[in-house]
Amino acid sequence: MKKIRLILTAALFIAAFASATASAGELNYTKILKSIDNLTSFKTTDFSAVMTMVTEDPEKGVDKKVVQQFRRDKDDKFLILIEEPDVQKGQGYLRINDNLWFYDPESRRFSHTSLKENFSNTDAKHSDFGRSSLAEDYTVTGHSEGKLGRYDVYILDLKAKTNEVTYPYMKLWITKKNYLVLKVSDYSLTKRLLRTSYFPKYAKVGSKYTPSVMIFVDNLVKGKKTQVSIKNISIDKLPDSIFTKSYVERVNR
Amino acid sequence: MVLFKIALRNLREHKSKTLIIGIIVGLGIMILLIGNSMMDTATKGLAKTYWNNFTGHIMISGSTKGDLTLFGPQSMNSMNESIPKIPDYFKVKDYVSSLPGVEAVSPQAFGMSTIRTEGDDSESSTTFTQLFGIDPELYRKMFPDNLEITEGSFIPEGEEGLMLSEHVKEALEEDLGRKLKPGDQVLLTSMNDLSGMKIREVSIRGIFRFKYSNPALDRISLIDMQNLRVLNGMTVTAAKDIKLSKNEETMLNNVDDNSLFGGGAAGEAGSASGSDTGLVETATVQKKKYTESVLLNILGDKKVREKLSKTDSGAWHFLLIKLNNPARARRVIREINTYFKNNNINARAVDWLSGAGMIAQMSSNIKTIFNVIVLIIAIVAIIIMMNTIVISVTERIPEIGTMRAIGAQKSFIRRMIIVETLMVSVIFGIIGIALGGLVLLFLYLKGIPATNIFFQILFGGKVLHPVMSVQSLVLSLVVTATIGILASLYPVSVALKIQPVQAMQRT
Repeated sequence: MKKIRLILTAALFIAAFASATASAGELNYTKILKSIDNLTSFKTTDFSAVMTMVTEDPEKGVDKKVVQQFRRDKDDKFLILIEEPDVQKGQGYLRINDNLWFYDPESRRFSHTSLKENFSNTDAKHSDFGRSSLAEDYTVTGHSEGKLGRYDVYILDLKAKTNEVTYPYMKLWITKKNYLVLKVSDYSLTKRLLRTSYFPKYAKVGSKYTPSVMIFVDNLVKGKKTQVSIKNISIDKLPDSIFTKSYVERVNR
Repeated sequence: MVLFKIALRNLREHKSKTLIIGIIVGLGIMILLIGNSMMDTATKGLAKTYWNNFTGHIMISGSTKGDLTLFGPQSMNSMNESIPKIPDYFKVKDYVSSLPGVEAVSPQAFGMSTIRTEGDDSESSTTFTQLFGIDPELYRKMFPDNLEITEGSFIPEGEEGLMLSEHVKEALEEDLGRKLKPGDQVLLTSMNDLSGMKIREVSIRGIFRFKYSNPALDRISLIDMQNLRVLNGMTVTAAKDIKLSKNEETMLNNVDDNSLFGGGAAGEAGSASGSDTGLVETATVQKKKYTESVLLNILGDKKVREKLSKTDSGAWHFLLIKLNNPARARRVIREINTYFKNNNINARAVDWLSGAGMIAQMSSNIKTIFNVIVLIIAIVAIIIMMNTIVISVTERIPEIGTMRAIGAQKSFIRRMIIVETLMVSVIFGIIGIALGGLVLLFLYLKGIPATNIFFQILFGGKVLHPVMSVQSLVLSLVVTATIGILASLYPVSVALKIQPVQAMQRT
């Protein structure tokens, strides 16, 4: 009887230890996501930059856009104003929390749009331009370690917690050294690869990092891709009025 | 004559086998005749429905790599292709209008947009509509009777507005939780290659449904062309040629793990594994003071935008042509395409079916599928007949052997078997045709109701009254004779192998 009790106690102990170890592992990977969010979000300052987007489409040729980006991550706000091409000058995307409005200066009308949509014929999504919220939106369902090019990386499989996010499944390649995301594969609900994103260059702004080059590859249309380069970065305070519909209308007058 | 007498006697002697073969032939021919006559009537009905309601007889468009329909590119290899404008539209329209036998022309364009009302901020309530951009006057002249307007009225000549599809209206009302009526304003938002996302506020002029609709047409709303040109970015100025910097080109041309992260040209990486060199650069953070004046002048000169946004009044995707005599369509298409070639106009003319879209093409393909089924039935019938005749021939080995022994040539035996089979095929084929004719007469008088919208499109109306077509009749007769000849080939070879000595042994 004593023997059985001993075996049972040992089994319970092993099970409890295994479970604790597993949750500790899970916690570590979630921590990595939190670190990524923290490293790339500007919660104590505002952020502004100029982005150049070059899209190459095998059917439609090359398209280039220059946009001015304003971000206030602590309030989940951003404004993107298109500066080039001239025909699109003044078109604006204003995000306030979960709402995103598009402004057409020609008709002077706002229309509600979705963060999941592509940004103006590019392969970037509207959601790519806000703060990173991986830890809030995804759980880690798988992990491994490996190499991407010459970098030692963690490879994490993520599953969305809600259907509010752009992609239900993602695979991330993250540098072991400083938790910078190098590559992301975005999948549909049926696990079909929809898009691959590359982040080959980062800019260090104080203690924060922001990708200075992003490449988005459309995996559904062969040869279609967009490169986004970021310059003229500033973290100076922006006036509150920038993140309003009224400003978007006034700047177009 | 002797041959016929012998053949008749043989058929009489083997009544049950003759009957089996006859029933197979008769039934086959009857099904073929009824089916083909129904398909012919339906195909003519389908064509007539599309001619009079959606496509006219001929469609002109700019040239594309893949197939183009009134609903845009629909084949998998051309899904990403844009619909081109018809080059030299006014010249093309004048030429086509001057052709003899052209009854009407109507230009058209295709677009897609989301539809909302001002202040509707719900992200989940996205209603889509497909748009046919039209010239209201020419559209009504070409298709005077294709719409049922349930509320409001048609877009007046020379004015702007939206004719909202009844199906789209119902979906939108469900999203909004309120009713829509003519006079209400809606926001149409669409994306185009040239000017990106565009919004137009448009007034609903009327609510309509197509008299003959299908799931592809249910989502179509009609809009004046000025608004669609803005939504589609059909402007006077074409997109500029973009020159990329060397760095941009290098990055875009080498998008793979090793080029970007393995120390290649784009990576500019250092050598140590895991090093940050090349991956992270310290940014030169700019000091910026956003005063009111800086903020309001951030876009610079905006006048050029207005100039570039000017729409092209000659921009259309399609020109639909209605002829006095549809039978001339092929000749007119050839004539127009020759004109395009001689004048270096990068456009093409195609028949109505090419422009009609997948559902119409699918309906048309059903006839082909039916003919394949008939072919399979015919092959089965030939095999059964062949088998039955072979049994009959085997039973008559002594008789055939004796005939050979008393001097009958191989050719005589061959002709005898062929005549036997042909007689069965022709007699029962005629019976099959007669029965098929009676069934068709009955169906013509009674009519076959189209139980759903798909059959309405397929039948070209709510009831199909099948008519026996000359084509089907000729085809039935040809098939009868062919079956007869093919079915007798193998039995003939069996019969010819019979030697007189075998006959003696069996006797």
